[in-house]
Amino acid sequence: MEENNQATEGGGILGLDVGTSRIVVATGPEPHQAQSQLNAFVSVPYSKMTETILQQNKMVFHRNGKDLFVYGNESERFASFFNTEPRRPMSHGVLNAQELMGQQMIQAIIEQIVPKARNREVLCYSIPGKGEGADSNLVYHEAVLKNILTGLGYNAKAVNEGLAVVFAELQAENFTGIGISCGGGMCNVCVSFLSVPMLSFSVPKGGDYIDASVAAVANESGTRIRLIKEEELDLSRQPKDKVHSALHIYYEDLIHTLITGLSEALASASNLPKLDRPIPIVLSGGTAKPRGFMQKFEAAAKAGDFPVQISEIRLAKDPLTATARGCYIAAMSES
Amino acid sequence: MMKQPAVDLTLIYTRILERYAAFFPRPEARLRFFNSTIAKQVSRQRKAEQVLKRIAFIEKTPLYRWVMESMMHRAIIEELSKLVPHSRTERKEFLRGAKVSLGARFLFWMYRLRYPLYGVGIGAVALLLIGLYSLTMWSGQRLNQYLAAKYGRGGGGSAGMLATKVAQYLPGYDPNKVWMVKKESDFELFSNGVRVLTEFETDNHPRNYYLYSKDDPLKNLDLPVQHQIVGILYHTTEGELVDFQPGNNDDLQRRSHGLMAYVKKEKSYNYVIDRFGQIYRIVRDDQAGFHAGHSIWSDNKYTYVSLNESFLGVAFETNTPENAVAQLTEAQIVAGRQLTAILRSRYNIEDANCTTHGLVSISQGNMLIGYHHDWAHNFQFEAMGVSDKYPIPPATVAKYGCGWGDEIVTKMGGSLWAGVSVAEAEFKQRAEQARLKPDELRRRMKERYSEQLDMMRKLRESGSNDTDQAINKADSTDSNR
Repeated sequence: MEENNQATEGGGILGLDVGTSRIVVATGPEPHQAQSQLNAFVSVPYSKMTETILQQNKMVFHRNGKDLFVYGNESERFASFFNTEPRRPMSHGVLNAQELMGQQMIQAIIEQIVPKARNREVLCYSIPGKGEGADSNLVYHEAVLKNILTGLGYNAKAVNEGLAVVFAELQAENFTGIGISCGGGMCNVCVSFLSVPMLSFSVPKGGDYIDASVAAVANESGTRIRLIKEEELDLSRQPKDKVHSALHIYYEDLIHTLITGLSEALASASNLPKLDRPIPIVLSGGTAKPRGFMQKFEAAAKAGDFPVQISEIRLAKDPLTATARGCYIAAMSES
Repeated sequence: MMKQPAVDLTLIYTRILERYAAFFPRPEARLRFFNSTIAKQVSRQRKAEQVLKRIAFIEKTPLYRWVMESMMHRAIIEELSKLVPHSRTERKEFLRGAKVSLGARFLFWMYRLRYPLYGVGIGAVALLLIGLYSLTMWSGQRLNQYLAAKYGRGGGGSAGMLATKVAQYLPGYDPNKVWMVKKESDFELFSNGVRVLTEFETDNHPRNYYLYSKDDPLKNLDLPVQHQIVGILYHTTEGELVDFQPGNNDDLQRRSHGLMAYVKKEKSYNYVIDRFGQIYRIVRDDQAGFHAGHSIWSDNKYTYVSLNESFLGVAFETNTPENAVAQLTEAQIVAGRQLTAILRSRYNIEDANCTTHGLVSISQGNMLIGYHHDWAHNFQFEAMGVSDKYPIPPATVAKYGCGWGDEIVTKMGGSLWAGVSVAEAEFKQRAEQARLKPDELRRRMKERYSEQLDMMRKLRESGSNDTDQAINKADSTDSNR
C-alpha cells in the first residue's frame, strides 16, 4: 500500500475505506492499487513563523482563523515534533461528535486522496454495521460522507465494512463466508451468502480501545502503546513485560467479545440459509495484523460454539487495504 | 447502503448459481452476476407468491419447486447473455476460458440457440401435420381405389391422373424433350409447336468466358476457356407500349418490327417475344448478345461473370411503369414457357441458371446491385416452367459483397427480393471465416471483380471483339431499365 499525499489520478471508479485511524482508497482489486492517509490532524496556534516552517517542510495544512491544522500522514510527524497527540475526526467507527473540526478535517483528508469525478463514476465507501450505541450516529456518519463524496462528483454508495472484506477476499467461495474487519475504532462483522449480507453487526472495541486500556493500566502514553503494538507485539509468544501482558489481555478480550457476538448473532438469526458446507472467516484491518492474532482467534473460535461449521480462518492478503479493495469491487459491479 | 435483497435462498438455488459462477473469473463481474440474478429471482418469486397466495398449498408441491428452479435458470441465463462479450470471437474465448460444468454450458447454448430451436420445433410440427395430412389423403385414395375395384365405380380423379393416363398412350413422349422439326428461310418449327422467326437474325461474336469457383470466386480454376450456353436471362425491352386493342393492330405490329430492327442493330438479345407471343431470334445462339452488362451469377458448380458470354438473353416486349410492375400478355407467357423448354432442351440448361437480369446486374463503380432492375420482382418463374429465384441468395451480395442504394429499394416498393438478406448474412459469415472485416473482404472482392473483367477483356482481345466494349454497350443500351 502506498502512503501518498497526492490524490489518485484520473477520478475513475474507486473504493474508499473510511476508517477511524486510516482512510484508504483503492483504484483496483490488488493491494498495490491502494493508498492511504492517516485519519488524524494536529492543530497549533497560527503564527507566521509556524506557517513558514510548514511551507518549508512542504506539509499539507489548513488555516482556520487563529489556528493552523496539519492533517493526514503529516500529522503524525508534526505531532511527534511538537510532542503532542494527534486528534481524530472519527471515534468508534463514526464521526466524532466531540471533535468540532472533525467534519472539516475528514473532508480535507478525503479530498487529498480522492480526485474529483469526471463523469459521476460510482464510488463505494465503507460504513460500520449497527452495534452498541452506534445506531443513531451511523445515519449521520453515512449522510455526511455521502455529501462529501457527492460534492466531489461521485455516485456514492455505502457498503458494509464486513461485506467489503467478503467482496475482496472470498471470490473463490462465491462471496459466501464471514468477513471481519478489526479497525481502530471498532470491529465489523458480516455474514454473507452468495454476496447477500445475511447479518452484520459491529463491536465497539478496536485498536483504540486496546491502546487506551493498556495505556491506562501500564501508565504509558497511547502513542507508545501503539508503537509497541505495531512494531514488536507477537501474540503467539508469552508476554515479556507488563505492557505486553496487558496487550495480550485486551486482545483476548477483544477476540472474546467478537466470538461471543458472532455466536449470539448466528444463533438468533432467523433468516440464515441452510448451508451444505463449512464457510470461511476472513480477518482484516490493522488490529488483526499483529503476529499471532489469527491463531488466537482460531483457538477462541474452536472453543466457541458456532451454529455454522467453519472451514478455515485466514488473514486477508493485505489486511490494511481489504475493505477499500472490496469497496472497489462493489463499485465496479455497480458500474 | 448498497441495496441487497433479503432472500430465503435454498441450497438448490446455491448449487445452480455456483455452477454458473465460474463463467466470471473477475470478482466484479461475478458479484454483478450474483446481485442481478438474485434480485431478479427474488422479485419473480415474490410475484409468484402474490399470485398463488390463495392456493398457498401449491408452494409445498414438487411442481412449485420445479417452476422456481426453472425461473432461476432463466434468470441466470438472462444475466449470462447480458454479461458475456458480444463479439463472436471474444465470446468463444470467454466460454473456452470459463471452467464451467458441461451441463451449465449445454443449457447456456440451448438458451442462445432457442430461436433456431423454436424454428426447428415449429418445422417439425409442420412436417408432422403435413405427414398426417398426406397419410390421410393417401389412405383415402387407396380406399377409393379399393372401392372402385370392388364395386366397379371410380373414386374420383384429378387432372394429374388424366395427364398420366394420356401420357400412357403417347409412347416415348417427354414434354421436356423439344427439338427442331424443320427449318425454313424465315422460321424454324419446333416439336412443341413453336415457330421461331428468324427474319431479324444476326451475328455478333462467339461466346468465350472463364468459369470461377462457386465457393471462393477469389480462386482461378484450372479449366479451359468455355464457349457453351449455361443459362437464360429474362429481360424487358422497356419500350413505349400502345394499348393492346384490335384497333391498334397496325401500330402494335409496326412497333414490334421497329423494336426487332433496333435490337438487331444493337445486337442486344438472343431472343425477343413480342406482345402477340411471336418469338424472334435476333443474335444467334452461339453468339453473345449485349444484354447482361456487369453481371454475376452462381449455380451449384460455378460462378459466372459478365453473363453476355455464357447466358442467352430472352427479352419480353413490355416495360416497367413508374411505381408499378412489368406485366406480360397471356400469349407472351405461353411463348416464354415454350421458348424456355426449347432452349433448356437444346442446351441442357439447368433450372438453377434460368434467372432474370434484375437479379444479376451490378454497377462496377460502386458495386451496387440492381443497376438494371428488369424483373427484379414480379417475374412469373413458375409460368416459365422454372423455379422461383427470388429466395436464392444472389452471388452479387453473398460472394462479392455488393450493396444497394436507396433508389433500387424505392423502385422495388420498399424492400428487395428475399434472397438479398440471406446473402448479406452469408457474406458476413464468409468475412468472419476469413478473419476479415466485411469492408476489407468487400474491397478485395471489388479488386477481384476488376481482375476477372481484365481476364475476360484479354480473352476477348485474343478473339474478335472486346468484352469491355460489349459490357459497356449492354449497360448503355439497357440504361432505361
